[in-house]
Amino acid sequence: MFDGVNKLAKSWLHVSSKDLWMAISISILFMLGALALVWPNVKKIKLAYEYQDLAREHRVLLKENRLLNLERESLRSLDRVHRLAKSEVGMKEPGVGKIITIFLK
Amino acid sequence: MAKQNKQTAGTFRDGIEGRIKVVSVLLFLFGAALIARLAFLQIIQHDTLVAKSEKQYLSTVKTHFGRGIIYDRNLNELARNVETESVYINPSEIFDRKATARILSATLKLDPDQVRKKISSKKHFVWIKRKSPLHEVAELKKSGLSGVGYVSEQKRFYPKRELAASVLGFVGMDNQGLAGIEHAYQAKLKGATFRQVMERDARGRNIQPVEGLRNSNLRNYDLALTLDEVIQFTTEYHLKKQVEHFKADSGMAVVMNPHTGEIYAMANVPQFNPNRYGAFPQQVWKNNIIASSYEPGSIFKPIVAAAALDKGLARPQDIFFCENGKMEIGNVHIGEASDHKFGWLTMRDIIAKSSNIGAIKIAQQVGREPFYEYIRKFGFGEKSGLSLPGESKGQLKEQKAWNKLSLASISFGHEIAVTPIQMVSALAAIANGGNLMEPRITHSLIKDGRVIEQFKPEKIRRVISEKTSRQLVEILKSVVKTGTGKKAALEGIDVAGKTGTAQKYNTKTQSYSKTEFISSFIGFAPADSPRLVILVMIDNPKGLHWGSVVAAPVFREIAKKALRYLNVPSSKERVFILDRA
Repeated sequence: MFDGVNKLAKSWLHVSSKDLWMAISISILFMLGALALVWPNVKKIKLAYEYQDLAREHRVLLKENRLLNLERESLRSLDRVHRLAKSEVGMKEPGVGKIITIFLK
Repeated sequence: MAKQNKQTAGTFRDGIEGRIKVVSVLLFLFGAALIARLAFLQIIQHDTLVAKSEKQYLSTVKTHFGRGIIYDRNLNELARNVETESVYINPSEIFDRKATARILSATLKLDPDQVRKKISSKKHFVWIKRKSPLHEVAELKKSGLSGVGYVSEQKRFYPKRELAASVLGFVGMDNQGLAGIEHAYQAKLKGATFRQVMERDARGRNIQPVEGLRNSNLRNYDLALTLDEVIQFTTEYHLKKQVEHFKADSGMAVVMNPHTGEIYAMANVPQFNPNRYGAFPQQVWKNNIIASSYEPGSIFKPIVAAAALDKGLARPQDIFFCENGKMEIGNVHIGEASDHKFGWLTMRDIIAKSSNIGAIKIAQQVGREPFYEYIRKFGFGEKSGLSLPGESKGQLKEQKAWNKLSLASISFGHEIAVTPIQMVSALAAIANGGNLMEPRITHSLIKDGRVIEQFKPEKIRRVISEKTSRQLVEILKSVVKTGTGKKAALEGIDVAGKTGTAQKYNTKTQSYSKTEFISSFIGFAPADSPRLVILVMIDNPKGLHWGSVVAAPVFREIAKKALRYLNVPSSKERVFILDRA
């Protein structure tokens, strides 16, 4: 590979092989530098997209959660519970003698 | 040949130089044009182009923080928000107006003529339907109409429907509090819209916010009330049942903790559903417990007794002659309820049997000035300080404006108008040992699930001594044990209270009606260590009208269930105390 580069320097580019190696090294360093500069940005953008997707999903789930909470609160309405207890389950209120109060110490 | 070559070289050099000059000029001109263009773009068009570019890569995302949630004292939700969408149109962007109007009116269940009228508008933004149900909007979106847009909005929702509606109030289309707590705490509860600038890519997808999130300061306060959902429901349930049973015009009931002034229940019947308050007549929106004043009738007699006892002008066993049921002051004849003809009665019996003439005799013993002073000390004639809008201070004439009959009339609850909240606060002072407490409906302010501010009980003033309070408790116990309030008695729990049946004043005939009454019962239980003060007022019951028959049973039912709920056992119950260990 080294011979090939030297040959290329002398026969094609008419420069010394040292100069060519220098140019290649500088190019590689430049590319690495550019990559170091761009890569975090690309990563950041990628993460930002992921974050936005998750935020969207979070919003949707929150909305669903709020609707479910609303439904639960509506179903827990004492008016409804009282009606169901009396008419569907046939529950009755206990008389005084049937109540036992327990206090926990 | 050589000369010719020399000539050719010279001509060639001249040609090259000429060309170089031409190219240089061209390059200079090109450079100058480039600089001019750059100056035009960077300096002259700078602002316009910056704005254009920002529009391309920046977008504004709106985050809605709806109104704060309203809870009861146990953090059960009484009011919350639901996300909805509102539909608008830009008529200039609608191509097929007929079809659009047809689809809009059919999907959103609107009047087709109204929709057509809106579509013909020359405006660029016309609301079609605010806060539409989610399923309607979802269906409309499927049709993909041009010129139709959607705005996300928050809608107030009351999951318990009628429960405590007159206390909670309601909000308008733009979520502004219009009545009740919603109005009183508008500044704390109101929603906010947070706009955040986001970077976006070429496909319009949001990437990241330009500024950091600042959500925490924008969230609204949630509010916990002193109301207890269970006690509120119980109160409303029994009050409504009785109002319907007696075909009364309306009913009111308040349940208060006498030691702290916390209101556990505040019920008004007829009720309304705040989710669609517009479907109910305006008069049912009113919270009569604070906004309306009534002549209290006999439930005011404990105030006369309190003044006499506290001043040391009478003792419970002191006897008064009740004129055998007939008394005249000036030209006015005053009698007893049910034409009773009481002779000599002790002060205890005057209250227990609810003698009007006896109450007059006690008031006469107290005198006009001290009696007026006590009425004011009990909080009548001034607002109670409850944090609800539209509170009335009742009607109490200045003592200087009293006529010959005033002292007598006021002693049995006429010629004075009090709000139910004033009445219940006054009796709470008798029950708690003599301190007038400020009634409270708000428990705490909450932000992000943490209590930010807790509202503390406020003592307004001492009204009567503890000794007077104890004497009055005994007198009021006798009302329920042997007097007019027997139907308020609870098995195994001592109850103290007072019945009232006030004739309604007819403004048209300028006289007291003989057919329309306000039936009341006010009391507390357990009498010796009161946990609850309860007032029940039923306006214009048909058939029977006595407070003892109409209002006292409602008191009994509310007290029985609320005390059981608060773990106050009756002496008839078996009670076990278990050690957790």
